[in-house]
Amino acid sequence: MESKKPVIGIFSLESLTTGMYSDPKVVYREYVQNATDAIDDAIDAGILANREAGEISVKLNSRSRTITISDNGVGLPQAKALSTLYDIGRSAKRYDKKRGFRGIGRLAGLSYSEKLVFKTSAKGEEVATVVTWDSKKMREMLRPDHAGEEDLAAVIESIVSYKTVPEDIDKHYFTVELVHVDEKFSELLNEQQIRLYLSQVGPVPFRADRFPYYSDRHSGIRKKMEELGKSLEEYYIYLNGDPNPLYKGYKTWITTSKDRDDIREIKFFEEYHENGELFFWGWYGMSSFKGYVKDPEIQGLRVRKHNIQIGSERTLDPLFSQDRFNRWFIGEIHLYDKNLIPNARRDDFEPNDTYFLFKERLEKHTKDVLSKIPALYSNINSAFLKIETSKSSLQDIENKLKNGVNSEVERDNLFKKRDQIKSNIERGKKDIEKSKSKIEDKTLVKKIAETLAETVTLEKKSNELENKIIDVEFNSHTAKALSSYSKEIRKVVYRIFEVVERELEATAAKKMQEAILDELCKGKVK
Amino acid sequence: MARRILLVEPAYSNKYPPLGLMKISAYHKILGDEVTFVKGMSPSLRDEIWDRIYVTTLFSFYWDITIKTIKYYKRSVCKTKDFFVGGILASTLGNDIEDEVGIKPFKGLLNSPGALDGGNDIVIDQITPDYDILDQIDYTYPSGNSYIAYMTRGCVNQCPFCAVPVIEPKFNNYISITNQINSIDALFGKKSNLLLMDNNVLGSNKFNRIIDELKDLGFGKGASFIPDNLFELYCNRLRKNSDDTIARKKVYSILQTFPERLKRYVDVFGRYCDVMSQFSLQEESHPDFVANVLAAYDDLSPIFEKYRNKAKKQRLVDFNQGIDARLVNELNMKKLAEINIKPLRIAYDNISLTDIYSKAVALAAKNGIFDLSNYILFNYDDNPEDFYFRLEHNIKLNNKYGTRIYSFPMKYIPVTDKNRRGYVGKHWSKKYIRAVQAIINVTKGSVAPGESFFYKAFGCDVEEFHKIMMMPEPYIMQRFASEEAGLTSRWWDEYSALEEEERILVEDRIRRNDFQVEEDERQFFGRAALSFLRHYDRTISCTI
Repeated sequence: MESKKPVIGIFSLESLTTGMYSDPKVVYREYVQNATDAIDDAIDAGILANREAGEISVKLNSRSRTITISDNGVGLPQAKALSTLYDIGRSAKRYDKKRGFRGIGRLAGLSYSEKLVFKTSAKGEEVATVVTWDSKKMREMLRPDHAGEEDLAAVIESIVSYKTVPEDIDKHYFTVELVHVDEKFSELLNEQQIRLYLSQVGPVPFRADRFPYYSDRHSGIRKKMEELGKSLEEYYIYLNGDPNPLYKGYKTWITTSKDRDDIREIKFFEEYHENGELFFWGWYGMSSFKGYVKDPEIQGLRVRKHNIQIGSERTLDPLFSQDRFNRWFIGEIHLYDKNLIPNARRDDFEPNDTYFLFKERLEKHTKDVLSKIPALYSNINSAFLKIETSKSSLQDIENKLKNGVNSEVERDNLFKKRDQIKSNIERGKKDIEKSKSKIEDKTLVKKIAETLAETVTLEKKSNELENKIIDVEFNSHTAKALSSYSKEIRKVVYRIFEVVERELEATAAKKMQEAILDELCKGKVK
Repeated sequence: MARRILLVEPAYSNKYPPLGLMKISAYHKILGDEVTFVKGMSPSLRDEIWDRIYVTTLFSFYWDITIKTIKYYKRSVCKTKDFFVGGILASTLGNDIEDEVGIKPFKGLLNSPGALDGGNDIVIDQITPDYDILDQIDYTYPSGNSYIAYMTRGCVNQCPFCAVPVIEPKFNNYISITNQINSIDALFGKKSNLLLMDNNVLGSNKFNRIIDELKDLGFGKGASFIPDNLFELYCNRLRKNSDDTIARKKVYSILQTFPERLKRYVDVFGRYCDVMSQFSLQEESHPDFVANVLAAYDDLSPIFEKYRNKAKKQRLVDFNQGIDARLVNELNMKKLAEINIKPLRIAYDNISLTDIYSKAVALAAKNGIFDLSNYILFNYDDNPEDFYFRLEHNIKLNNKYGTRIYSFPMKYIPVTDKNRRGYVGKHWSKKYIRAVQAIINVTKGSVAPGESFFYKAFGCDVEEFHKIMMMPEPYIMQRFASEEAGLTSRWWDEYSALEEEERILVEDRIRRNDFQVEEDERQFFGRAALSFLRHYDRTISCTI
């Protein structure tokens, strides 16, 4: 075995043991990133015809607690494999082009498993190189109470082993295996969660059949990217042997906090640098904004660089006028500036000047345009709802009137109910009028016009109902006799009459009531 | 059974009492009904149930208060068919009212027999209005103590800016008012002045008859009258009907205020007080108040007759809606001068009428009518220069003929415009309208006949008029103070120093009366322009 001194990179070993990432699933992103680089290199070298020929495979074995991620990219020739896989934090990659720019990314799996095994072979070589990091041993050696090696280089030397094995000369691949994933990180073995994660974060394609706004030949995302001169950067990831690759979750219908809703159209925006170079561009879906989007795989505007999501669906929240508004949208922002660098934790960007410029330019859209949409639509939708409910409430009154009104109290209640409905109609109408000019969506514009026309009918109907309530017939003899008395007194008299009816037999009761009315008609008592 | 009737006038401040409701009141009293009149919204009256409610309406700019009042009382009838909405607005915007409140208003006049009920053929429009109802409310109409009448209805013209053709589409060229006046005198006492609301009396071919009737009624040139003995009058009413609450209230108030006139006659005052206490007349609520008054009548009557106010008063006729200058001629002006008309109102709505109008003024002066008043329509299809010209022309006519013409600029508001929504005529701007109003507000709406006031208020020429129109409002209203403080000249100097482009921007702002320059608009305004606009900032007082 050839002796090779490992070189300590820019990161301390300790950070590797405690986990670099707030979310352990980021480990998948790191390995997928590396895989896409390898596929691109293979295309450059003429080994693969195109990205469609590239394959990234992710396999989870929960029984052996093993994760295997492999690609059919360029692979590493034996001569380079050892140094690449041995050294920490020293990567051959230049940070501006490739997705995984820090060699450290390769060791991401150390924190989560007992062993990290790399196996790779390049085309034209009859060997594959296998490098194994014993992470369990490493963690033990780094414990503060562990007596022994002080030298980090020596520590690494004692935990890394490598070998070569024979391999088919035509094979080219890179495989990383996380052996015996720690119990604490069982979520890494949960297929459902990893599918969800990779379909969001991974550089996977849209599903044109579920999301035609991608492939629409006139105004789709693909067409937009062509116009912008940008390539798609889509890769095929296969999970657990599923013959279908993973796709982004975008679809034309969404589940919202209120109701199912449809994406009616998508809108684009873009920002350029002063030199005319594209800074970023984005798309977002316009629905009826019935509520915030609940589908976890597509909720929120997300940032992608090289089609890989940076951060989460929450990352752009602060760029909206209220954090919660981001959740009302689906959409993506694709970045192209080489100075925008994901931070080491991959949940945001390095806070440099470019990043602040990005924020400022993006806020023009998120704060000034998008943030205003949910409130606008929510006003309109609740106005629609108000008017819709008014319709049936008016019908309720109509029915009550048909069944007959028997007391002044009952009538008062109908008046109150009618007034409430009337004011709802008026408020709904006012809200619609106020937001009307800001709505462009054709279907909605039509619905607004229809609803406004309907309010006229409903207002008329509410007035007619008021008239009917006024005209209602009950106890007209009594009502007339008491007309010069105030409502309060009338109510008291009606209650007295009820008592009379209860306590006396019918004829006597009638006689008594007549006598009371006669008395009351004679002179108004105050 | 007597019906209980509620009459409602919304609580806007108007000058003339609601003639229509007064007639409807008289109508119901003839039928033996019990009438209550209210101005505005009364919770206790709303709480009762009425056999009928009538709400009158006036101008479109009282839209909100009118609608609110209708809605307020709507539920206080047994049946919606017993709820009536009438008046001017009911005729001009009846459909809008119906949409809003669900009651179909009564359009037009109550001038046909039995218009409100079957079973009688009373023509309500011709009944003597019931002045008594005016005493049921606290509001005092500035012209409440005049006769108000029409001797014609409708108009011979169909001017597009006018609501008359809508409200009174048919021209009725003579309505005698003698019976009405006589019964008003008998029931309520003589009024001093006569307000005639005719839209275009000169259009009537019975004009001479109208003037002769007015002369017979005691309104000839130089007419005067001695006010009636109201104590006598209301005692008579009480004698006829001891339940006449208005007469009772009136007598009580006369008894309370009369001692003022007796201050100089100590003996009489003592006697008066004795009678008052002898018959317990100090409290109106005394159960036998009416009987006691009538018992004390023989003692009190001579005192009232001797010491009441018997000073002669001028009696004036006012054709309140003005006369049509186009219809004036030698003959009818001479005829008009036979009555005690003051002021004579002539419309000068359009600059094209200048010759006709001037001729009418000349004829008035020739016939001894010097007190003239003049409606000047603006914000219609006129322009501000026209407007200035017409005002100045009146000043010139005053100099020429010795007349005293008061000009009343009348801002045009479309008949259908609700709540004064700020209509701006095509040659006018918001700022100009406000400026005119700022000037005439000082003189309660009129432009006095004097030369010096006019040229100071509106400028010596059209150019200066424009300058005043563009001036910040405080500088207009406190002209002398701002001139003295040097603000006006600073304003003008700064304006004159503006570059052409800036001036265009600034003038646009002034016309729109919008001086708020938003952050993103600032780049278009130079520093000089921005500083100039600060003159219009309401926070800067010109008293600094």
